[in-house]
Amino acid sequence: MRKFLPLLLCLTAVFAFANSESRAQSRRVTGKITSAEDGSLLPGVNVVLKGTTEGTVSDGSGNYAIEIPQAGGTLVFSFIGLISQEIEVGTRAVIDVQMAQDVQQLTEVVITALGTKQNAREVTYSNQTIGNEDLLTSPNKNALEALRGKTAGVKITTGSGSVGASSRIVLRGEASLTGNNNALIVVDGVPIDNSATIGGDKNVNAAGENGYSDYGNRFNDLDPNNIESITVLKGPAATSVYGSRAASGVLLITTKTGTKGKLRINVNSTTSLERAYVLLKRQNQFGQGLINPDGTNTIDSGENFSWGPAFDGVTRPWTSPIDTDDDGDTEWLSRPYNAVEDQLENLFRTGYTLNNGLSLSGGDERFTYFTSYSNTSQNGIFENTEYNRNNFQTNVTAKLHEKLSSTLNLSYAAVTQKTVQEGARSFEGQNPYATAIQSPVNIPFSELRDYKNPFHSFGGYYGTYTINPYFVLNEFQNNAKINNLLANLSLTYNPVANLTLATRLGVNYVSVDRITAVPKYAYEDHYIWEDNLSLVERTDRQTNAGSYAEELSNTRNIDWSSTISYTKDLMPQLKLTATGGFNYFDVVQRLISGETNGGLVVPHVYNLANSKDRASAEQDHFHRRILGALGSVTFGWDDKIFLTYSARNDWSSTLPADNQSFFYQAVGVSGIVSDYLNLEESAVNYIKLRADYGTTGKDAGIHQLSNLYETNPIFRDFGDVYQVKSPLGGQTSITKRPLIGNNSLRPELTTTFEVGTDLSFFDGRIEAAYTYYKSNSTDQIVTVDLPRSTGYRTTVLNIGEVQNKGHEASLTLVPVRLPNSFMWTMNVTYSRNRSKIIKVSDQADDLTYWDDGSGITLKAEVGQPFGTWKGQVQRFTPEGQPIVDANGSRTYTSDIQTVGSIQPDWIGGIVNTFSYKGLSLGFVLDTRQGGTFYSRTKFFTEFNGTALTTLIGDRKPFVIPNSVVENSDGTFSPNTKEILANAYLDDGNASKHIIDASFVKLREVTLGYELPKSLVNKISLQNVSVRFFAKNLKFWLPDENSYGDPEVNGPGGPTNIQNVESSQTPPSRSYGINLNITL
Amino acid sequence: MKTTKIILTTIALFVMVSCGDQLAELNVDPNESSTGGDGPEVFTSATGYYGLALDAFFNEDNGLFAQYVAGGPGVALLDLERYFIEPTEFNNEWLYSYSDCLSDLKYVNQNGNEALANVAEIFSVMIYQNLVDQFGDVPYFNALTGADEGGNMAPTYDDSKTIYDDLVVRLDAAIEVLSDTEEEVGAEDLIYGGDLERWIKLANSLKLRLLMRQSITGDQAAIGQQVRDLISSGTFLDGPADLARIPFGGATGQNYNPQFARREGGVGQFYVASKSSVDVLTSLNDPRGLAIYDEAEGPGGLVGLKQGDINELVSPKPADFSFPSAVAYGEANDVILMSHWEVRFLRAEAAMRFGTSDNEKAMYDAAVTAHFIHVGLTPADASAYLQGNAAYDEGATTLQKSDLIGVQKWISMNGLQESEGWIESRRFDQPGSNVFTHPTNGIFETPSRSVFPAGVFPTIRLYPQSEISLNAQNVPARVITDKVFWDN
Repeated sequence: MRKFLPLLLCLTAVFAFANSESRAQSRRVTGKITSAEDGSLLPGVNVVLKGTTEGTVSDGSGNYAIEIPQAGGTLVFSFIGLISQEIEVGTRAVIDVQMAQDVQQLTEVVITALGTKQNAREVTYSNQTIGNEDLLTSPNKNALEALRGKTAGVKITTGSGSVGASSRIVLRGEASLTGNNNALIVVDGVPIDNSATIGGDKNVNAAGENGYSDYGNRFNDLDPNNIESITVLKGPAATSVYGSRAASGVLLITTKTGTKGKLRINVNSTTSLERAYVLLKRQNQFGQGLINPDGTNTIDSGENFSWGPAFDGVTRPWTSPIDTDDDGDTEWLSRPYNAVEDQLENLFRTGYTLNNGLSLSGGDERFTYFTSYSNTSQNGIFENTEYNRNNFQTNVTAKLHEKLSSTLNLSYAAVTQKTVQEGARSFEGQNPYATAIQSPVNIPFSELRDYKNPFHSFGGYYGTYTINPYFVLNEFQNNAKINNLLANLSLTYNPVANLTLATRLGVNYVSVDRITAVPKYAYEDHYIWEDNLSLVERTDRQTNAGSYAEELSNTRNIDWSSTISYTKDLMPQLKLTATGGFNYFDVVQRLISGETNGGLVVPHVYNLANSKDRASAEQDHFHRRILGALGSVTFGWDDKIFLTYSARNDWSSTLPADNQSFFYQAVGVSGIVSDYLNLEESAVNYIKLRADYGTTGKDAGIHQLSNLYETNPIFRDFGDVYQVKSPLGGQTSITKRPLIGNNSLRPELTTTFEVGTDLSFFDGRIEAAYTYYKSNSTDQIVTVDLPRSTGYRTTVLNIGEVQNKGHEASLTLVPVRLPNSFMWTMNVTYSRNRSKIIKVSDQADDLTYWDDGSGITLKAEVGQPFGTWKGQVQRFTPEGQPIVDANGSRTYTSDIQTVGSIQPDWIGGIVNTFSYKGLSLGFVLDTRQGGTFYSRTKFFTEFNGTALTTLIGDRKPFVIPNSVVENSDGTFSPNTKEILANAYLDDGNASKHIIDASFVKLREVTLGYELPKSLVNKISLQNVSVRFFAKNLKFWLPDENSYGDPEVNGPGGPTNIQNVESSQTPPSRSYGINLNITL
Repeated sequence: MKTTKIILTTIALFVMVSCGDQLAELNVDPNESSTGGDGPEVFTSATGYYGLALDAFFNEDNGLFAQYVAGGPGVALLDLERYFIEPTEFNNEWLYSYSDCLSDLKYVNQNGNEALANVAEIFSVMIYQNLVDQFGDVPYFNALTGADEGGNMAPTYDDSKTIYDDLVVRLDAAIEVLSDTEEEVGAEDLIYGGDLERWIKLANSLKLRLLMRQSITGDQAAIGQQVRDLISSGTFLDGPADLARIPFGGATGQNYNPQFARREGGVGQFYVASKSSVDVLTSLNDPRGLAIYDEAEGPGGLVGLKQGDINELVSPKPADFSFPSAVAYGEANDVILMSHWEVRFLRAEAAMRFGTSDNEKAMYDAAVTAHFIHVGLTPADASAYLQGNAAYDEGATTLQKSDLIGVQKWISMNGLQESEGWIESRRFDQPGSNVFTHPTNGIFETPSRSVFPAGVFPTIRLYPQSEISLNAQNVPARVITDKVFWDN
């Protein structure tokens, strides 16, 4: 509390000062302010006596009244979006004013970190605002998706192609070694809970190896149609208001508000169809069976291997013989031994999405409202996957009093989701896609859809290592119910024109209920066809005792901030704006979960009471709070040069009492250089230069300060059924937590420098923005792995340092603008980020994010970019010839080397729009170039013989071209040892599964038509438009990536394990139509 | 103005209420305890973790190294089996030994009563000896201090022999305290239920194990004297009630035997009888063959698979081979820390080498008989066997007797104490006969596609990847054919 007092005293003093000015002898000037365009009355216009702090605002009828000194004076009339006017009063008592729209300014209003609108001229830092029209060039279920290709320096990845999946959004590269690198999402001034909701295997790790179901980020719960704009803030300025939570940047979301005028009713309806965009390419020459060491093949209808004989078109059985009609004889299904055309495509159904929204808005001088309801329902590309969301939103603004206004924003989303499991080992049978790609290329999925058919069920189905993917889709359950309430109340009090007191209270309450149900099933022993149609009985191990788990969590965020702002013209040309305030942020999360143990007693009854052994329960609860005090001052010189200084102090509950207070600050300067140059005749309209320098603090994770003890630990969990755990032998137990708590943690500190320019040429036909930035994050709180011989596994230390630097550029062009209203506009964005780990810890130069034991690890390593792949790499002679061993197999270095990085070289996007009268055609392309990902699909399909690479040597024994063997004296001799494709590929090395993550994607193509006003007005409508759109029409991937979408990798959320592809549901192409009618 | 004052006062009050010292209190973890109490529950935890480390990791790998089992149908050729081994293979046993068991035991030693503290001491010695026998030099004197004031975050490696010597001293001290303590140990002791007499027996037996490891290559005179003194003065594990084991409840207690849980929770139990073991058992006409392994379902009888041969077979079926029996593999099997027959083998060997007060043949016979009974056979079965192929000839040379004890001891650990079986196979594999590793006559067969030439087998564990990554400045260089200090 001590530290708050000076601030409060200061605020009080400012306030007192502002109000203690006594009024001198004065006279009264009144007038009416109207719009120059249509003569309508303008409320809310600022009227200030120039050079003083005296001022007022026009009322709802556009009338104003101001007391001014007896003689002379100049009144300044200003309003965002209108051209300011200065009028000498002289002796007049009535001054009516017409104000014209400032077309250029209108487009350059930005949302500042304070959540208020500000003239773009005054902003010293890099920012980019995407308005509603640009955001929704085509309808999106998720507003994050809509940002792709449209903003510079934004990297978005997703957890799955299934319904409602999560997104991860990183601005300017990862800066925190072990913390959350996702941008903070702020909706109407209130930070929301944007955590990703993951279900599935309770042992799910961040790379999703164990199978996870992705229930999305909570940002997904917002209806994109209610979003007015998204502003991306990346520099230190972003954090002046949101503090440490915003250290990874901020997305400021502004939702729609009503505007003055009569009731407007908007009806918006979108329908689209989705088809799976399968990027995995499989060979179509060899079918089910085995390859023998001599290169011959054996048919085996129980195998997941496609290492069998070459296709010959001869009709053969593909299901096991079973007696379906109890006649004592067996029957089976046969088909020509050929690859199934579009095999994987036919695994999926056509998805279908319907979105209907209705909004009402309007208002008068004192009151505006925007209220909407929308429903989004989607049937996913997989059977039995669904997403349904109902959104209610009401935003109200009210002028309670001449000097007091308030806003109330309420939004509620109710989401239900039925999805599938992603990731996992394919053998485990939880991920339907991974199960499917385990299948040989001659298995017809379209026939298996009827999974209850005995031939397709546990007796007849071919799989020894797989089960029917439609059984997984229909009988397994991965469901969630999400309720998300966001309430936001603000009050703004303007006791006098230049003083604003504002307070805002936001509450975000999210509850999630997710269930995972696995049916109880057992494969019957079945008969497998071998060579020459001989039969062999096989005892299968595909059984599951069944399980059920349910997890309930609720998260409550409260964010309350109050600010006081004061503006004053210190000199005729020098304007001061000062803001001070505080922020209170409090999060409580509670989670309770239960699961069955040892299987289910009765099949199909999904209840914890149906547990074979006693069901177990877990509980987790945490509470964290951050208090902040903030202040900022801006000096504007002649409306051309601006200097901003902001500072903030935070107190966090996650830091030790001695270190819980931390201070950081930022300074920025910008100048409108063009105003000082004589550019009247030149092509250059606008040149702004800006520079910023600042620091940001970040607190620690929860509960890291002291040593703790865990009661009744699970010693090791070997899967749902097989646990080694306490109580053991009836004895309860306690174990020491393997983390050494650190009671001297300090906050992390990021120092950023950025410099940039905003330019406009040819009357706005070309606009460009460029920013260079460099940030160093030091004192990083790193969870350091310790040598186990310390008795512990990890501790947390303030040691890491990460550097990010890069360039961001955006360019908006109007290449063609014809008098007949034809226009071509183009928006190009480009960004490149270079990250470098400067330090990890005193003990180690690297930090392992992920290690699945396959020999490839994802690390942060000193001198390398964030996220570096390490593994053994293939050995070559100095002449570049591959060195092989005595088996003719490739050899690899014994030491661990750098294989690649997850960081892209650059990210770019192009948005093109052609419009002619009401007609518009647009497309969005985006690309990420460089970077690599680890493909488990590659590993599995090379193992099971379906990858294109398995065709090497036509599956005949071959000698690796140009290969040599190493002689004992270190010389090399030509290799003559032949090897088979399967042995060649499955040589235990995992580095070869690191592949190029580059892509170019045609995200969307839109054709829209807006009916002429004249026509629309005749039928008493305001606006009617219709749009056809197609999304994800075409992906261009590098040749070596015939496996999957490099953007889809692992669950979202705070994890730093990225670029691990584990056979997630593929993305979809969609085709749709949107109808928008405004009454 | 009045309104403003009200607002500011409210803000000030609110902030005062919500910050300050209270802030730190929010960060207290309500989910976990801040103390481990005075130790009993922590001792139980250490027991559970060691059962896991020993059975699911040490025994699992060593079953292959000791050629009790071979990777059978269900998997591709295991890298481990052809000795293509990465340091990551050994992360878990190191992790659970140090960061869970030893660290928990240190807590018990510091917080428990006198009796429990010294029981924990004996347990710690057992774990450290195992670490030395598996890894050679390991962090010891400055290990486990991570959370201490000024603790060592990068423990150095200590000389194995020096560790061994210190372990003997620690055992002596613990035995002394336990011999006349008034304090008690209760049901938290899953091994002996608080029976301190048995802990003293285990301590003496462990001391014998420590000394006998050095009996071939060490200072014979000094070791011999220590062994003679120990045998004449100490009490030892000497019957089924003394068997040192950690019980696991199986499905009922939801506590599966760790090796069982690891296999069933993973790719399944695909290990089949190793041809090396089957050949020995068959040549001795040993009735325990069909007690340790089940009959092969298809052909019947004992059928083993040559190490590493699974890839050479065209279409192997599980039914083609013998699998470990219920004695060796089961959901509720105990994890054996030290068996009474192991101790009898040690005593027989001690008598044979150093002329202790025991009778070497009687001890040997008692050891074999105890194992027969444990696997479900009768004393009569044992007696016949001991008069036949496995008869102990007191007149034979030391090397011949050593080979006989070595092979019988190795058989007695099949499926029960794989880890100890592998350790002892290395010790009994002596120049002159190389009963296990001789390229032509040795019991062990060089696996197909082994990365080593014939007759070369792993003799030590690699240091785990976690040490290579996290303790790089201290971890010594290591290849898997290095030897621990007592090895031949």
